[in-house]
Amino acid sequence: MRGSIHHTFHRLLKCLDLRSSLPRRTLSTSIPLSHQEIVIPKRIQRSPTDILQALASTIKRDTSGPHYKHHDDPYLTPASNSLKRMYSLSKESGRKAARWIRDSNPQLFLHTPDDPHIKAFAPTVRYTEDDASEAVLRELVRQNEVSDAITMYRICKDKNIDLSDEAKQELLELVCYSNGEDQLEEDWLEERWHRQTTTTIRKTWNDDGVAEELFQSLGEKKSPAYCALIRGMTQYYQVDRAWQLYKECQERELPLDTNTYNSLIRVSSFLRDASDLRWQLVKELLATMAESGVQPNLGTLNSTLEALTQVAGWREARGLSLQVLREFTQAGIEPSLATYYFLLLIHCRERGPVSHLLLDMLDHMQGRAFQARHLKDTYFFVTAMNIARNHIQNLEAARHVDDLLHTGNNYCLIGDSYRESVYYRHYFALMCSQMPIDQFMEVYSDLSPHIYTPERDVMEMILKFTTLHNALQYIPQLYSDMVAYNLGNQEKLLTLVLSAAAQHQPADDNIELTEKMGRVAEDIWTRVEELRQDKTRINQITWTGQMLGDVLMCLVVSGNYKLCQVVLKDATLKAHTILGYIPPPALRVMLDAAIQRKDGDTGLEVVKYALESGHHETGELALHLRSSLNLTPRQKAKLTTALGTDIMTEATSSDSDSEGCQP
Amino acid sequence: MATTRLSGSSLPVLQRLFSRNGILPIFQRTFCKVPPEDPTQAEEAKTIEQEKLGDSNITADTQVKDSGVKEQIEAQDHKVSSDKQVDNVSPDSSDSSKAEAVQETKKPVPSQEKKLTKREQTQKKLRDLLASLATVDPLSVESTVKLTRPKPRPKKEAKVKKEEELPPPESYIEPELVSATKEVAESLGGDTAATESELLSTLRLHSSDAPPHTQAAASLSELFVGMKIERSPNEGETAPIQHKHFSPEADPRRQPDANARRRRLSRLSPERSIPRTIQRVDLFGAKPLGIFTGKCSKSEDASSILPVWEALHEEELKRSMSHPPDNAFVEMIQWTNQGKLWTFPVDNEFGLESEKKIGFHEHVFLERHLQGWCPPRGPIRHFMELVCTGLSKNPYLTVERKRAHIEWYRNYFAEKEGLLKEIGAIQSSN
Repeated sequence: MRGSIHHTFHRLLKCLDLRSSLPRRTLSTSIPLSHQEIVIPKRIQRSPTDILQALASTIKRDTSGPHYKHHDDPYLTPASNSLKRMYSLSKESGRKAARWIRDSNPQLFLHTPDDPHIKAFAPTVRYTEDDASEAVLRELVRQNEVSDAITMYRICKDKNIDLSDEAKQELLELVCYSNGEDQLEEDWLEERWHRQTTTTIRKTWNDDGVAEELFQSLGEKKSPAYCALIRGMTQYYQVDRAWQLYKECQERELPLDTNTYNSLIRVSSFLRDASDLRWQLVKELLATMAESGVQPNLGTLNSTLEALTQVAGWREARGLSLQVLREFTQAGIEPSLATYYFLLLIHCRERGPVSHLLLDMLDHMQGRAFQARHLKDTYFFVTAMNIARNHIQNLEAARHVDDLLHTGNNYCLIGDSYRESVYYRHYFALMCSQMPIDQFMEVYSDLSPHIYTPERDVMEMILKFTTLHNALQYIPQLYSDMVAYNLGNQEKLLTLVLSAAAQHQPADDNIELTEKMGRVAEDIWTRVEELRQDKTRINQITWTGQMLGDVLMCLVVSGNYKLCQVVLKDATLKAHTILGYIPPPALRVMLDAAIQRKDGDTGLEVVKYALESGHHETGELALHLRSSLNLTPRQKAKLTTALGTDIMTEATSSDSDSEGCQP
Repeated sequence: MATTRLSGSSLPVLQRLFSRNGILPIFQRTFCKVPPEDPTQAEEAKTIEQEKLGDSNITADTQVKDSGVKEQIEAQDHKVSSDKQVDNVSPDSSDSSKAEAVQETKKPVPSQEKKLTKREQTQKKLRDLLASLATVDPLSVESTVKLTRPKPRPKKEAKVKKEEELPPPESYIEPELVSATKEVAESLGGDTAATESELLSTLRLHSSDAPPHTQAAASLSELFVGMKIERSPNEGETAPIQHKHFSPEADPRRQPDANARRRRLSRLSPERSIPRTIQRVDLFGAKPLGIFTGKCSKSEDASSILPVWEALHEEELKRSMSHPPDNAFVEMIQWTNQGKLWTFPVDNEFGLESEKKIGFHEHVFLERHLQGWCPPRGPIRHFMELVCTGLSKNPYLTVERKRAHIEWYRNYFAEKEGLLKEIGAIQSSN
């Protein structure tokens, strides 16, 4: 045995000498070797997160459970939107509290056993006035501590510490980028996720702030300084001054870089009024770029299109947008999602003619994974879904958009929680209206509540379509979901559920459903009664006659006669708090149930209620009661006092008739 | 007949008077066309002739002597023989002055020759009118016929004069009435202008209550509906007129109206009709602008003139993609990027930057540090060899600490040299 291994080993060495590859099995069996070149692959440099990324890509989002960020405890599984938000933000606020304690008591965290030292765990370094120096200032700029850097700059100025132009330039860039305000820290992911970013298009630039002070203090104003200030001003819509600076640059023949031109193009619409003049200005800027040999980039393409969205109502905007796209793709610029977003904005306008540009785009984008290359990239998916629903009402397009969203890492480009839920809102609404209800309910139970919790309007739509398709078997499930989603106190939805439940026709093969409907009605009754006890509530639910009628019908059908009596009694006693009256069909059903149980008192109550509500059918009901039930003299007396003696005589005549009929 | 005669000098006054009330165009039209010297022509202006030509084909050959008064066409009788004069019946004859004015229009003395030439002219005008009526979008046909022309602006007076088929504004008063009012005002004396304007404003009130021309116009439209329009000799002219309405470029003045109607319609229908046919667009097939020619080089991005800005921008881009982690692996990626986690692939020397420069042999082969002071044999040597072995296996100490350890023993033994010699642990050199 040992000898044979030895033998093979020698042969192996021989093979290596011959530079031929060795199939694995020759180690055990000695097969003649084929002469193949060994190609040693080159080492692939892996970044520290590559392995993790590969592992993460094997895990798909589990739709049956809550998001990973939520506590792994069924009791703490959020279903409603407000709970999701509350739980994730409170988790983060716990982190914030810890951070605050650490930063406010740095003396308690001197023990640092970690090697290498992890800066993220250490308290933030504090600087005193004595530390003021250019090096510290530059370090602060490097850490993006805007307000600290500004304070340090002021201290340096007060202490007459000379700052180099480089340091000032760096600070200028930081201040221009952030408009002198601290940005949300990188660590607060939840806060960023749940923040509703409203893009306000108005001037927010700090006029005569630190940025301009820094700019003035620079010894020699070179083009980087101008570029930084122009970019800052355009980013915060101080358009006129930015334009002034641009003109100044042109006079002094200072070159500007691509991104500065881009920022000017982006806001050029604010400098002119008429559409064609605005476009003229954009074209002028582009021509200036080309003349001075500045290379365009993706930002140029997107800025030009963004400028066109400002004049999207203009007749020529659509044609021009395609021309622009062609112009830049020809120059070798790959469009990003933001490019498509702007194109959609230009072509698919609410009031404009219908454009199917989205379909062409999707053909082009299918199966591609995108990276964030422009800040507006995250607006694409929500806009595309909106257009699929509202503009072209095309379920197929919506499906394609959804497929694209789930390709590669594209889900990262959904934006934030608000945009995500708007995206799904459109998707749900479109599917609800265009898909068979059974198929839709499959998707519904797949995606909600963990991926998306339907809002009130979407729920209303789902309920309406379920009723329309007569798919009443889903009503109990939808109702329990509604309660879980914190929508159980919405009067409109409750009315819809009740009217759907009242439509249910009991039969032998749907006893279970009948029972469920009864429980739904019972639950709504108790829930609303509880809510009505709470006087602090702002939106009090008001019972309407129709709702109570539906409750009665469901309860009668499911055989919950006791609660029926309670409901009827309540309706009689608190008639002033109820909007309208219980409609006659429901009363009739109730009366039949009373007659069936030979409950004359309740029957009498029904007739009395009908009389008080002024229904025309009162007489009919009374006759029915009188003829089908043997009333006690006291009940008869009550009926007479309520309706007069005529009814009794009529009743007796019909009574005798019916008696006559009986053998 | 003198009532209709107006001296040219009185026109500007009237113009000034009426320009405020928006009835100036009609006023001008009526009076400027009629030469004040010739009363018969003024009469002719109110003469309407209807002809029925051909057989059962209802062909309207309505002659209008002066189409400024086209509203007066009475269409009750279709079977009027040619050249039959139609009485101009005004529906509102309660006003005495108005009735008087109407009476006056009943005396037509047309001269045959003049009429022929005029007839031709008016026929053409009527044809135009009919053609323009026919081009009206069927949606906008209502009981009151409003021709699709916008109200003439004061600027375009000259043009307006020519466009005889223009509809009257709301508060239209028949020119006869106007002239009659003028006459009344003059006969009363005093401030004639004031009296006249007072009278006219009263009249206008009446006319807006029950505008006589609306009914006339309605009957006109009734007449024209279903009537075959006599084609103008030149077919090429009418075709573009019909086309005109639908092409937005044809009449820039009309475009806002068309847009407004579209908007109204879209507001009316809650669900927009979405065309079934899908027009495909070639995204990348348009003609380029031609500003940037040639490929752009990508190397340019490397040297940005605003490094801090670009870094901030990059970071924000990254943040726009970062979400609360979906699973533990993603969370670990985030921790790794924040420097809170050892990097993969797992490496014991992660973060030991100072050790990178020191070779492995310096940690392991420590006996060379014994050379020069340690005795070559004996218990001290034995002990120190054990120390070196122990230190070489310790992964937690730096080379410097290890050397310091050995140094400490060296000093220790140097201190105790006398004692060691005494007990014979160190062999004395001699």
